[in-house]
Amino acid sequence: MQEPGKECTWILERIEPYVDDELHGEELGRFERHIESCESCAKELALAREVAHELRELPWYSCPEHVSEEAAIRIGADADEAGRTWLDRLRARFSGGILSMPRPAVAAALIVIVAAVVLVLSQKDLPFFTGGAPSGEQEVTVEELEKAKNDAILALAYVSKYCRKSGEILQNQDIAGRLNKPLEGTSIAPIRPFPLIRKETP
Amino acid sequence: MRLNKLFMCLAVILAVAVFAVGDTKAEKKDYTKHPGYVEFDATAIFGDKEPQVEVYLSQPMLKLVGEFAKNEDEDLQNLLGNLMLIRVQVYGADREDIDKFISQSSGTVKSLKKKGWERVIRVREDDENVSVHLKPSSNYEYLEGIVVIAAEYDEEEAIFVNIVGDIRPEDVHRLSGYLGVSELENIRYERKNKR
Amino acid sequence: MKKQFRKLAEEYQDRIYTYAWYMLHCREEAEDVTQEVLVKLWQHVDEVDPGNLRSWVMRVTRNAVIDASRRRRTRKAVFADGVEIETVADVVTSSSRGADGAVISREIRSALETALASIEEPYRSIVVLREIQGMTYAEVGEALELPLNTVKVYLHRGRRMLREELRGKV
Repeated sequence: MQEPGKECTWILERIEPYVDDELHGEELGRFERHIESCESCAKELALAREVAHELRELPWYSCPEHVSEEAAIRIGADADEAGRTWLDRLRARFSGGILSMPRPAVAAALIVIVAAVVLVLSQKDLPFFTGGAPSGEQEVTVEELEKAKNDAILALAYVSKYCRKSGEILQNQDIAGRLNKPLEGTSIAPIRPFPLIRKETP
Repeated sequence: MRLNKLFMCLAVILAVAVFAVGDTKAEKKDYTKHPGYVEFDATAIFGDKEPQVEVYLSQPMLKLVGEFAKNEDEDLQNLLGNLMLIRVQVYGADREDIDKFISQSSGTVKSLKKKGWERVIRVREDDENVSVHLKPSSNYEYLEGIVVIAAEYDEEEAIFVNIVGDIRPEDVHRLSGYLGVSELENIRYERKNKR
Repeated sequence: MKKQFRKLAEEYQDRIYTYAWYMLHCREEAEDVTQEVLVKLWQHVDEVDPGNLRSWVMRVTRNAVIDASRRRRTRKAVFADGVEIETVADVVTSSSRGADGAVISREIRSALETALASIEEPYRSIVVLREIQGMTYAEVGEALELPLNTVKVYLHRGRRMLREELRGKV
């Protein structure tokens, strides 16, 4: 039987999942039994329910009309400008029809355009293919990078800790045993099919 | 005439390259669909309890961190540049929670096996329960993921680590001996103090 | 072309503006963000999978909000002025609508919005997108590039933080 304090801690950690109907089975039963008998937890649950309810009642705000009108002007102006220039260029260049242009010139122009597209697309954070937001504008501070570096090292340290603690180091042989190519600097040939190696300490 | 044909062929090749680049970028974006990604829902055991340690690093942050660490650690830069996600969750857990954690993780381990993961390390002792799993790529040329599931009764901790991305064999040594146990303790001590 | 843009704007502008308002608490900045996002939406709408468009829009909006708040910090640092943060009392007019048209106590709403403005990211975004704007967990995850389970956990943490802020006030 758990002490009351500990049980209340257990309940408090599950109040929000309970509000969202995410507790089931034995957990749900345990939660509801405790709430019936503990005034302080019941009060906390009531507050959690009220907060969730009031959040869902918070209003949406209507965007002022002038915002979309100004955006439309920006878009309309840009599209018109680009359209005229593009059309003008086409008309000027192909007034005699495409056959009037020398073919090597057409092909060379195509190569230059495609090469430029490939170069541009080889940069990261372009939304077209990723379906993601143009996110390149975000800044990252040195402190954030330092923290992230330490976090990455921490993760790697956990991997190496458990490999070491088990009495083994994640050997190149383990990886080579699972991979096609032999590792650089080793003469370990890959084995296929790949055996499952268990290293159980007694 | 021959020159014309050559130019046109070159243009077609370059055009194909454009779409190849595009496809690659599209694939890399959603790491939850990456074969090295493992979903592990700790809320069933720990509810809303805050983990003692929580790390969540994805691209492009990982690449930025690699660039940032370039001068002091080129190997780290190479490793991080190829990763999509690093995830660590460490929960404080009493015996009861740890038993539930181990029970839930055995379900996860079974599903890993079906998806082509291999367990390379398994430790079962009175005070700890550890497993380390690797996911080779379909052509077996590199690793797509690493998972560590560990529970320590004495430390009262439950640990989940998932590293997702292209882990090249030449980067493996970074994992096998990156830091000693004492360095890890120092980092954890620092983080706990900062909380 | 203008008709097509109007349709797109009508579908998304309130959603963008509402999110920007709850994040920035400044009408002018929320309007700037909305305009910027509408322009980007028009420029990229054909390149985004229609099934993910809503999440994409909110991702772009969030990035624009982050940029706006960084500019605000820089402006404050450079000009040593305070950008006036509007409270709900300034903005609640007949233009706001509750989810079911019910009259909500101005005090509770004010306390809740103040509390919401004080919780950190990404908890605030998740609360706004999920609780106020009714996006699904999957959509929120797509917008913020977080796995579904993480969204759930963070939502719970966000609401717990709000609860702690509001204790004794409601």
